[in-house]
Amino acid sequence: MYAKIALGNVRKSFRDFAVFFLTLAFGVCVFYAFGSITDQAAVIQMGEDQRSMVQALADILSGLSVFVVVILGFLVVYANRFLIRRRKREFGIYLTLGMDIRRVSLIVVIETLVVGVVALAVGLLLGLALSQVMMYVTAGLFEATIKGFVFAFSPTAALSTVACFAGIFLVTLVFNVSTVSRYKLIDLINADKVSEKVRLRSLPLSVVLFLASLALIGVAYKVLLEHGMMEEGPYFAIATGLVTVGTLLFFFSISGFALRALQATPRAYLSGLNMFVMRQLNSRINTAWLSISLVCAMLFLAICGVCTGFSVATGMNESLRVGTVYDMSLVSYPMGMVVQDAAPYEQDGPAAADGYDAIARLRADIPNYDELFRDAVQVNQYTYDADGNPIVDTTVEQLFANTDFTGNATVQTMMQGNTDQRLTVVPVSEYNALARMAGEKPVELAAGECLLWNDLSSLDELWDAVTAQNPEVEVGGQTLRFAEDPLVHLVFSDTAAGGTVSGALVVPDDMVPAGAGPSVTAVNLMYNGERTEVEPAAVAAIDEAYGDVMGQGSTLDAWPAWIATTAQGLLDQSSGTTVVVTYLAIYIGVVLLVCCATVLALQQLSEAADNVGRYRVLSELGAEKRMIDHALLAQIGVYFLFPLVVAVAHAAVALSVVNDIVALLTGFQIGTALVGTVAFVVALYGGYFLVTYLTSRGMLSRA
Amino acid sequence: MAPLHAQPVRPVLSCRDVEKLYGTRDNVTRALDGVSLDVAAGEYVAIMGPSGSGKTTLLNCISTIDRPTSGHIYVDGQDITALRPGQLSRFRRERLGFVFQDSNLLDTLTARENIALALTINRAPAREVPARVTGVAQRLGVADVLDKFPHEMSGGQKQRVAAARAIVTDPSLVLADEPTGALDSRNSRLLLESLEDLNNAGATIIMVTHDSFAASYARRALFLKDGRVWNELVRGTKTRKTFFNEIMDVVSFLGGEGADVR
Repeated sequence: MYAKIALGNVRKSFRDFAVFFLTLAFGVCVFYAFGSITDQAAVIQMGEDQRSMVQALADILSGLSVFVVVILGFLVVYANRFLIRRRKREFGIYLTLGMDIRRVSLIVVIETLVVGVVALAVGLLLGLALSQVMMYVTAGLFEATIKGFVFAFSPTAALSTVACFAGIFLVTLVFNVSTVSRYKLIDLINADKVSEKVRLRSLPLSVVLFLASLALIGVAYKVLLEHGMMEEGPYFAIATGLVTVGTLLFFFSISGFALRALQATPRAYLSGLNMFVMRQLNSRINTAWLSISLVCAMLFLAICGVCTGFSVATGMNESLRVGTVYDMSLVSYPMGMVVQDAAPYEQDGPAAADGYDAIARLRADIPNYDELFRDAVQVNQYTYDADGNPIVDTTVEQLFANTDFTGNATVQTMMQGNTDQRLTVVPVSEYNALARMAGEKPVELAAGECLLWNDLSSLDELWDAVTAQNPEVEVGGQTLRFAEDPLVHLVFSDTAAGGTVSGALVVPDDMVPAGAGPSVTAVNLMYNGERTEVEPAAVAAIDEAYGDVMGQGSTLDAWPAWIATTAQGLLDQSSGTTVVVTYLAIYIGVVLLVCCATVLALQQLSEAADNVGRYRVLSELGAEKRMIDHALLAQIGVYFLFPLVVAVAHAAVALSVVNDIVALLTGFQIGTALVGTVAFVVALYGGYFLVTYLTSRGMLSRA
Repeated sequence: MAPLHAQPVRPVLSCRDVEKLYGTRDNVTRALDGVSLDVAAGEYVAIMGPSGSGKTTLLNCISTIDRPTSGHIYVDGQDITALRPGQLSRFRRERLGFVFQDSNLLDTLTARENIALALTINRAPAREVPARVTGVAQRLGVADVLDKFPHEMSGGQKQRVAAARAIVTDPSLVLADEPTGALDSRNSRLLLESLEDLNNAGATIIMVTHDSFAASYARRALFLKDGRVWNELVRGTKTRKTFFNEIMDVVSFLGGEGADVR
C-alpha cells in the first residue's frame, strides 16, 4: 500500500521528480562516459605513445572522479532536498490522517528508490551512447582510425558508476529520512503560509557588510596580482581566504543592500513592478545566498579549468609550431652538466678529445650520415675559459639588481630565483650559420658590440628592460655595448617548451677565449628528404650510435647527444597531450557548468510554481503581460547573472596570474582561449537560462 | 419581477442581456441567462443568491476575468466585452478594484508595499504614492500594520489591507467577492463598516455574498436565481436591522430550506 502511494506520488508530481531524475541521470551518464575512456580507447587503432597518453588520461580522470562524485553528490542531495521541501504539506496531511512518521519515511524511501533506479538505468544507457560518440571523437583527435562499427562497453566503468551512485543515493536516503522524521506537524501544515523572514533588517548593517565584502575582494585581488601564485609565503592562501569570505559576504548582503538602496530612491522603488521584483529576490536570498556562493565558486572553477586547459593545449601547439624549426636537435653538455664557479668544468671528456666538433663525431659514428642529413649547424655556448674563469664578468645578479622591472609578478619571482646563473657567450659566426639554415636574416656585429639571445618570448619584456638599463657588459676584461635592437629570438634547439636559451650573449668570434670548451652544444640537423620519411631511419641511426649514453650515466660521456629531439616526435607527443588536456578541461568544465546551471534552474522552476499565485495577483491588479514577463526575466536573470559576473571577475584576476605561468611555459596568452571559453559558457549557461525562463513563463501563463 | 432601471444618476455599470453558457453543444449549462442591471455611481450593491445561481460568474464577467457568451457590459459607458486582451489589463488597472475572499495579498511584500503596488502598476507618480497609501490605510484603520508582512497580520487586517489596495487607485468600481467569507463575526463587521465608510465617501461597490448579514450593509440587494435577476430589495431609509430581516425573508424563500419545502 505504501509502495502504491509512493508510485502514485511519483506519477502525480512528475515535474518535480523530473528535475531530480534528470540530474541523477545526467550525473550517471557523464560519469560512465568518462570513466570508460580506457575501454573506448582499446578498440581504437593507435600508436604505443598515444596509448600511454590515454592511460595517463584515464589515471588523471579516475583521480578527478572523487571530486566529480562529491560535486554530483551535492547536486543530487540538493535536487532531492527541493523535492522534499516542496511537499511538506503533503507529509503534513499524511500525519494528520494518523500515519506515523516512520511510514511517511518509508514512502519517501520507496519514492527515492524508484526514481533513483530508473535514473541509474537511463543514465547508463545515455552514458553508453555518449561514450560511443566520445570514442569516435577520441579517434579523431588522435588521428587514429576505428575499423567498422564497434560497440564498446566497459564493465568496470559501469560497475564503479553504479557503486558511486549507490553511495550518493544512500546519503540521499539517510538525508531524506532524517529530514522527514525531524518535521513537526505544525510546521508541515503551515509550510505554505509562512514566508521567510528578512534576516538582515538594518540598512546600515547591510551597507557595512556589503562594503566590507567589496573591500575584502579588492584586497584579495591586489594581493594576488602583486605576488602571483609562485611566490613563497602565505600570499596565495591569504588571497584565497579573503576572496572566499568576501564572496560569501557579498551574496549574503547584496540583496539587503540593493533593497535598502532602492528603497532610499522612491522614484525607482515606486515604479512599475520594481518593488515586487526586489522583494521576490530578497525573500529568497536568505536561504539562497549559500547555494549562490557555491554556484559562483563552481562557475569560477569551470571557467578557470576550461580556460587554462584550452590555453595550455593551444599554447603547446603554438610553441611547437614556433619551436620545431629544425628536423632534429642534439643537445649535449661537453663539460658536464652541473657547473658552479667553485667547481669548474672537467676538460678531459670525449668532447675535448674530438676538439668539440660534434658534427665530425656524427659523421664518424653514423655510416649513412650524408644519406640522412642534408645540413647541420653546431652552436656552442661558452661559460668558462680554459682556466675555469667566467668569460662574462658581469653577473646575472648584477644585471637584475640594476634593473628596475615592473612587469608581471611571476617573472619577477623567477628573476629572484635565477640570479646565480652565469651569462654565456656564443660566437656570432655560429649564430649566423644557424640563422641561415633556419632561413632567418644573419646579424652584423661591429667591434665592441654584442647581442642578447633569448628564445623565450615571455621573457622579452624582462630582457628589454635589462638591456635598456644596462647598456654595457664586461666580457673577458673588455666592455661590450649592446647593439641597437639588442634582442635576437632564433630557436636554439627544437623544443615544445617555448624556448631553451635565455641570456646568452652573441659576441664577435674573437671574444671567445682560445682553448675554452663549450658548456652547452646544440647540433641542429635538417633531413635529406621529407620529414616523415626520413624520421624513422634518422632516429634509429642516432639510437644505434648513442643509445647507450643518451640521457643516462654521466653527461660528460654523452657526446655529442645527451638529448635528441625531433620535430616529428614533439608533434606526435603533443597530439596526445592536447587530447588529454582538452578532455580534462571539457569534463570538469561541463560537469561544473551543468551542475551550476541545474542548481539555478531547479531553484527558479521550483519558485515559479510557488509564484503562480503571486503573478496571478499582479495580473488581477492590472499588470500587463509584458510587465509581468519583464519582472520574471529580471528575477531569473539576476539569479543567473550575479554568480556569473562575480565568477568571471574572480576568474579574470586569477587567470591573469595563471596566464603569466602559462605564458612562461608555452609563450601563449590565455586571452585567446578566454574568447572561446566565454562563448562556451554563454552557450551552455545561457541555454539553461533561456529554458528556465521560458518554462517558468509557460507555467505562469498556463495557470 | 422586472428589474428596476429608474436610477437618478448616470450608471457606472450597465449589464445588458448578459448570457454565459458553459459546456458542449449537447450539454449546455446556462450560468447567466439574460442578466440586465444598472449600478449608479456611488451605489453599494450586494448580489446574492444560492450556490450555482451565477453570481460569481456575473462578477467574473464584470471584472473581465471571464467573457460573456452574448450581451454587453458597459463600465463608464465603455463596452468592456469589446475590449482586446491588451486593453483589458489597462481597464482592470484603471477602473476596477478587487477584494477577494482570501485577501490575495503578496506574501513577500509588506502591507504598505502591497497597497503601493496597485499604484505603481498604474504608473502613478512616485512622489504621490506614500501619501496616498497612508491616507487610504488610515481610512481603513490599518495604518499601524503598514510595515508588517501578511503572515504577521490577522485575517481581518489582511482583508482591510486588501480593501485599501482595491480603492487606492480610485477605481470606478470596487468588486468584492465574498469579502467576509473567511472572517469571524467581529472582523466581518469591521470590514463591512469600512466598506460602508468607503461607500459614504463616494466609492461604488459591488459585493457578491451569500451572507445576509454582509448584504444588509449594502444600499441595494439583487437576488440571482438560475442565472436571472430574480428579485431586488432597496434599503432606502430603513435601518440596517430591518433591511437584514427583509433580506432574510427573501433568502429563506429563495433557497435553503424554504426552497426545499416549496
